[in-house]
Amino acid sequence: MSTDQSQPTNSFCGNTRREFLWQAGGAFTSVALAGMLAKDGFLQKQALAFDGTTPLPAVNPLAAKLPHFQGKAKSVIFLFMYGGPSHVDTFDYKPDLFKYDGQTIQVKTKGRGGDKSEGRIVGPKWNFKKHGQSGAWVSDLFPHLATCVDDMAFVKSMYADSPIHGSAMLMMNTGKLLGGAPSMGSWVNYGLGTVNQNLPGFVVMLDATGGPISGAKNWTSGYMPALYQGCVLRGKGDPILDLATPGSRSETAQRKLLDRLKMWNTRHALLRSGNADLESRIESYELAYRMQSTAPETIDFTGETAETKNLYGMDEPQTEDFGRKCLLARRLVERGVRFVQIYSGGSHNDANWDAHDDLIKNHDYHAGRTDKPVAALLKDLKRRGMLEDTLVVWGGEFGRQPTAEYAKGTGRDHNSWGFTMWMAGGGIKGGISVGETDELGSIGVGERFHVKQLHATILNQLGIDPNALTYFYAGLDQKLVGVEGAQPIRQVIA
Amino acid sequence: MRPLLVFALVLALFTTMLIGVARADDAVKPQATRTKKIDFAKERKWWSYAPISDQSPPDVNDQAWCKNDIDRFILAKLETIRLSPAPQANRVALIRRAFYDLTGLPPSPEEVDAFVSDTRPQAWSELIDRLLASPHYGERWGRHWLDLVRYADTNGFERDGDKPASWRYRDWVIAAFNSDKPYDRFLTEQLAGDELPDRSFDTMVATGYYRLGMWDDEVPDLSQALADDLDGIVDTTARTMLGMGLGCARCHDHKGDPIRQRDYYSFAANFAGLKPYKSFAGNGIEAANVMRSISTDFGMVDYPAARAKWREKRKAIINELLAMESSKPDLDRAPNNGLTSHFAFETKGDAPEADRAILKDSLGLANGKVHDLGWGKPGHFGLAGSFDGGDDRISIPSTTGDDFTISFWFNTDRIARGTESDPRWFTGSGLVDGEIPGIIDDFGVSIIAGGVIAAGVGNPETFVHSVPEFNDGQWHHVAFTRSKSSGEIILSIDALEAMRAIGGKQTLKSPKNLVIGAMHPGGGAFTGMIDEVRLYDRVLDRTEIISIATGVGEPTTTLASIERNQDKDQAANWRTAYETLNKLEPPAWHGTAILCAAERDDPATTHVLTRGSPHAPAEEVQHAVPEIAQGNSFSLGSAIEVYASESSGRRLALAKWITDPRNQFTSRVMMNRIWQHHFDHAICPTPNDLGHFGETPTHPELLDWLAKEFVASGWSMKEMHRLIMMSAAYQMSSNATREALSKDPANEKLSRFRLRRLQSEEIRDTLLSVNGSLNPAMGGPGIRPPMPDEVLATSSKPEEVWPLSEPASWPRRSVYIHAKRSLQDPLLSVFDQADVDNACPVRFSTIQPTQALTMLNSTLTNGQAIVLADRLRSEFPNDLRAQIERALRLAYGRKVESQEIDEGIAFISDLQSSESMSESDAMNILTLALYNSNEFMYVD
Repeated sequence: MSTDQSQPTNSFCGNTRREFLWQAGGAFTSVALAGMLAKDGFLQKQALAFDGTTPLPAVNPLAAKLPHFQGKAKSVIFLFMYGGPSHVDTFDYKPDLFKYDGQTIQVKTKGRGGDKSEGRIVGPKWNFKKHGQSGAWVSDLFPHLATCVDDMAFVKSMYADSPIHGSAMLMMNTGKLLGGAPSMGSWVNYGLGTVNQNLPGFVVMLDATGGPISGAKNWTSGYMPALYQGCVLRGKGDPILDLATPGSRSETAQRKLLDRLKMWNTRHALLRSGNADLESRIESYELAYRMQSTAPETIDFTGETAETKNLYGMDEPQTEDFGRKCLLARRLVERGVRFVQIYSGGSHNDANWDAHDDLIKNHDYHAGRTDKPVAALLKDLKRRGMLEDTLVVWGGEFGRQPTAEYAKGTGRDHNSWGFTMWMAGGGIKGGISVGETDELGSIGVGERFHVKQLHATILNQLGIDPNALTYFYAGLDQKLVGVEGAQPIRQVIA
Repeated sequence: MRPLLVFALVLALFTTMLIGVARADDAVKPQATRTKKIDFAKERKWWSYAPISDQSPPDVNDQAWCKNDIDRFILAKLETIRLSPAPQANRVALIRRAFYDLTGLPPSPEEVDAFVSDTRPQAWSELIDRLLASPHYGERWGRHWLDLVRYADTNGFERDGDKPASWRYRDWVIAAFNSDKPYDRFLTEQLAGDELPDRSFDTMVATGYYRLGMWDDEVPDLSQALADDLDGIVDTTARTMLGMGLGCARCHDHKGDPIRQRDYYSFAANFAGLKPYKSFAGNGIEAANVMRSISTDFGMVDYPAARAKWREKRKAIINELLAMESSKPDLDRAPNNGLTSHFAFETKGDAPEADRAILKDSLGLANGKVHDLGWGKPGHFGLAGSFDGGDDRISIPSTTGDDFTISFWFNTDRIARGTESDPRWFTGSGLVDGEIPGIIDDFGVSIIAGGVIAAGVGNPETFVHSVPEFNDGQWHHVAFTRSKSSGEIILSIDALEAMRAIGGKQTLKSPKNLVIGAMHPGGGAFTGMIDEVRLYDRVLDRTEIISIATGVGEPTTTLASIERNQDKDQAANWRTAYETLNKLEPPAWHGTAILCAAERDDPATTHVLTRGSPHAPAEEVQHAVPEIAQGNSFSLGSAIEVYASESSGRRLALAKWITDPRNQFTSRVMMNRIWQHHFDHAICPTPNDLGHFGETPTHPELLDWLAKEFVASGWSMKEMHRLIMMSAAYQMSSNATREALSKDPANEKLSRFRLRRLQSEEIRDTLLSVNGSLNPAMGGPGIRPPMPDEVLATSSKPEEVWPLSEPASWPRRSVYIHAKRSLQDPLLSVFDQADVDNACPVRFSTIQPTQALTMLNSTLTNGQAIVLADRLRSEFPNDLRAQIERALRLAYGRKVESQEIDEGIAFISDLQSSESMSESDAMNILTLALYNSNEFMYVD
């Protein structure tokens, strides 16, 4: 640690000035590009008014910004398998587990049920086969995804700091076990802005049964301004809260309202010179008006062919919901949205992948609803040439134990010591697998990859140096990957 | 082969080590702390570490401009750049500014007119006095404080449970501002309200300050979670009260300030006595550690002592009765008459799996179905079932009749679901329950928050409950009876009637099954033990309930038996004792369970934690204040011996140090904040960090002068508001001249006032205020006004996350909205409400299109616009001109030009003709537009 004895100065790395800009608040424009200048030349110079501090009204903090370096990915689609899918029943093939099925053996585990040193092995409930040219192991749970393995990179020795949903969800989404930190979508939005000003830069789609544990904490902007937080988007009806003009008011009436408002506000601003916020606020109503027409177009699938919709499984009740969301994710990414997160599963217990009781019933249900749509997303992105600059990430907040949680049944408890996630596209190597767990799948062995390294990889693919994307808060240059930093998973990067 | 084998072994060993470390998820090893060299003498010259200097207001040329000494400090700086201060703002701007700054609400048009026409010199000071006397003042300024201390009403994480009675702390803060509690006392009560010689109910409530953090009721790493909670207290205290970024030194020496890692831990040691929110790894929050049952006349009657004395006396009588009867106290004397089910929980933990899948009915009639359960724990009689607050629960057939008694024993030391002030049984954690959502013929018994036992029947919803004290880790008996013919329900705890009420007389047939250990159907899980659950199809009488709960026999048969076996005198003695037992009233309950400080007997030792890891304790440290803050003419006294010797006295010593008038941080930091909230910009613009990472103060001499004035006023915040608001500086116009923009572009010299957007709460409160619907009721449990379905759908429990409070509460002020971590109010959050997980010294003031969408299209703003239009129509029926004039006046305060009214009329008639709208629909749009206007949203 530093033993720097030099005289403290009042502009530590220039950060205090930036914090001042943030805290002084100004318009959204003054927060714009501040706070992230960890590398020289990272950002375009912000346009300032002649007073030198007030940013010009038309500058938007979400304006597209140059990355640290040319990244392979422009957008991220994070498919969050909430509740924790079982890696040993999906992609992490453990032949020994079949052999020991039903036997009680010595194995250390830590989950919701606490620390245990032995347990009854539950053999994998689906058969595994090798697929693709790469010969990747995939269980029968994912017949469609099995056809995409040559585009996927599996990371089979992931680990996290918590085997409990509440804190583990926060860890996967914000890098911290405690609430209050910005989520990764917020970091991406903060770092790169969005190229489509008429759509939110960070979109979240939730399960029909409800949000995940901690709700908005999973897509919050924490100590950053709220403009970086995720926007919950619905595939049907009014896609964004308060986007639609209330039913009783026509489009033209809304426009007349806005014109009247603009007239008042312009007159008001004329009498108050030197207050750029007032102009910014006038401009914000025009941006809002444009969002009103753009966002509904995004969820309007009339331009999609029947073949495409069927590819996503929208013609089958089981896959219609997740298929719609995956197709919507592609359409959002096409329109420049930076970060899309889709939750498979919501609420509690078996409404998500949290298979404590009946593993077969639970995973058949959730895999059955998502396998075809996710495979379709990869195929559709690929045939449109979008996969190369769209990073798709799949996984939950942790995996599951090789042993049964209860005296009877197939349910598995949580496992944060070793689990599998996969990535595809966005400059990720296809058809490879890195890292492994022990012969039971209970813990990662050899090189293990922390959740923060997954975050680092995502940022890296977007052209952001994960250890240089900082935000000054509470005396520290905060990072998504933590103050101590983390390295991307180099092995999966093409 | 040999070298390879050795290599393989080494590799295996190395791998094992790695895994071992990884399993603990903590690679940090304790190390002796290395520490940076600091030249403290030099550092104490830094402006915020130096003693507060004596400043005389500087000489200025334009004496006439100065209304008080503040102005001389301001003007002196402006004169150095040859810039004149902005002229005085007009009277409309002034009254709006004063109203919003002090109360967060707008003046009515009548108040504006009265002030504009009152040209007496004292009109301004009288206005300030009137606003300072308004109870709305505390609501506005209390909110600033709540931002700093991370006030929230829930714990976060999976269950995001309510903090029981957290709102009392919020109300205490508001009341403290309203009563102008001296700031030194204000801090002392929060830091050490339980250690004060003159402690009271209110000072105990103030220590709720320590209980506002995020609490994980299911921790992956207990010591880490507790270190994080303590860090919240340490960092919040240092930043809020001292303006010091002490939290930066948790893992290593501060990188900019003369604060060493050991300073962090020695400061943390001041709080080491506080009981943590939990001391075990399982589910739940430990009630006894964070709550106390306290009588509201605290200091007059020691309720816990009186209650303990009463319990002892009662126990003695029961023992006497049992002895006379030669009965054994562990005899289960539950009657069999009318018994329809009896679950004794006698299955052992190692019993065959099939036996553990059912809960055996001793009558052999109807076994229960076990979802999950901890078997074989020592119970009240024999063994008991242990419930983990997770999925543990048992479904039993409901064998009760229309008349019934539910009898059981339970034991818990946790905080249950729900809030003590809302003791409707279905909001709690289920004990024996048949809740069915909706108003329906159901019933059940639960435990709520800090140990309230609650029961009730549905249709009409009828509730009974106990005092909050039954989560004390002891076995308690519950009997809940219901009579169909009278509709009466009675709840008894430990054979003592807690409460009775009259409910419906219908057949209570709805629940086919009851759930033990959770709220039917699947919510509100109980943590603790349950034993001897009995269901009866009749109402047990008082004597029978006494028999079950105490083992004392039923009087008629017992007396007969004693007479037969012994003698008449003994029978008479027994009868007398039994009557005494029946008459023995518990001490009257005037109190409530509050969230507050409580210390363990011996404060834990505190160690420097290597790299901040609680698994790597290095050298021990003693409680102290950071070394940079030492070397004054005063120092941290030793721990103060406190009232009843129930705590270490360290916090009281710390409070005395923090509030010593010579402390260079405390008065400066608070005056900086008071200035900030008047000028929307602090003198040091980073109010939580006056150190090297903070911004340079624009007027350090003024800040020191103000700090001394503050202390001299007896730490009166209201005096400081008066002082600041009486200055010419505060009364300047916010208009910037071209000259001002070029000579003082960022307004750092304060050449003009700062125009500001209303804060989130002000926006909502103003919507309600101008249309006349604001309900000014103060205090009490958080309100839950309607929340859009789209927002509820983001919760993991959309159906139960946000039970609405009663409609009359909906238009109350925003400071009273229940602050739930996992659910954000869309209007408040989009307008930069403080994030409850982080201390928020300065709110953001962003401008974004989603704000426009919320203001234009939300149900809230559209609904309130209609309320405003309705008000206009009823005040001025059939007079469009008057309606529009009134609308503009309500929204802006100022008088309006007739041209503006003409434009409004033209707008409405245009909508009528081009959109075929009715006049009233068009007026609804006009009022909505007003709510969106910059003149409405900004204060000059």
